[in-house]
Amino acid sequence: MSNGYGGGFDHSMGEGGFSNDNASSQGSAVRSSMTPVTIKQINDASQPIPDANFSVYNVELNMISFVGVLRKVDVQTSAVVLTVEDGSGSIELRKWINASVSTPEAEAEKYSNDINKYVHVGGALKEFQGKKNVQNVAVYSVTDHNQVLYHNLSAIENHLKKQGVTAKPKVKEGSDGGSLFVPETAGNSMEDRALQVIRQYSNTMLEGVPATFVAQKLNISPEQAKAYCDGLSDAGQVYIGTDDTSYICI
Amino acid sequence: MDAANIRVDATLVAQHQGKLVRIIGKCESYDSDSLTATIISNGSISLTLQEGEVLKVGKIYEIIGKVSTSDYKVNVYNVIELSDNVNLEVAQKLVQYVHKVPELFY
Repeated sequence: MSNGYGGGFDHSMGEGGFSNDNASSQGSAVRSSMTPVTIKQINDASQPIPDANFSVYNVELNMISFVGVLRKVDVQTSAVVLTVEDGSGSIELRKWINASVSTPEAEAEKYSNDINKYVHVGGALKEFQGKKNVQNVAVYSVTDHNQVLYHNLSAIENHLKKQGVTAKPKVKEGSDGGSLFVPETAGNSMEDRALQVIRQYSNTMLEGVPATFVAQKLNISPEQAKAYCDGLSDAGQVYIGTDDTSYICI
Repeated sequence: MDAANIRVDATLVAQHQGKLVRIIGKCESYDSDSLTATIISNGSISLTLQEGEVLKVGKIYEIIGKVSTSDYKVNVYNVIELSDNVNLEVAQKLVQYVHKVPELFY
């Protein structure tokens, strides 16, 4: 957690460098990515077996981040205890102080400036003597409060993804449903019909669908078929196969 | 301040009478004599402030307070000043989504 981390709306970090949404690689991915959560999720989380990751509603919590308001700073012998609240619940964070670097009082003084202000917290959720606690806590003050909004939205998004809810593609009006791909019922021009033939047989003819085959299917001359196929190729709708007279559509 | 509160906007205040709520909005008016203010959050909400609480018109705040049971005024317990660039449209969206996933928030 370097300085860069404290900056912007960085929850995509979890999806960024390290993680991979495939279920197969979930174990290790979850361990090394930050999960954006609300404090209620932390408080509700449970461990299926001792020493396992905490989880709540399918969301695994290991490295977590949350945004909340710092409400209280307490000084203890070798730690400061910060109480953070985000509306969904509150949590105590114990930040151990290295006596050779600083004193709890000095650290508490530093955090007291942030009381009743939003902070961003990152850390690892662990169990210690039957109590949840966040280890290696990093607390940064929030200066741009859009971060509060985006963090909560990220937490919602992450939660919904783990429930198997996926974002619906936006349907643009008057277009082909916003899809990158040309729909099956593209139309009835000869080029479109040639495209349909190529698409239909691309799976079985791995070296490409020959223009002559297209010609047969559409009852046109091979020259005409080749012209249509070249047109499709120029338009980027099909690829040239292993030779110049066969075509592949993915 | 540890008690959980629910994120609402003007359209949802009526449904949360007597409850602790959390509102993000822009201050539209402030009267230091009567200790009242109005805040715009997808509509206008009247606030009853505590002694000594000062709001600036045009600034964006997050208010934590209790919705009065007799009217829809909000008794303010705590005010957090937010940065000026907060996107209030996003704040509105957040309010909508919070109520779709109550398991994360209340």
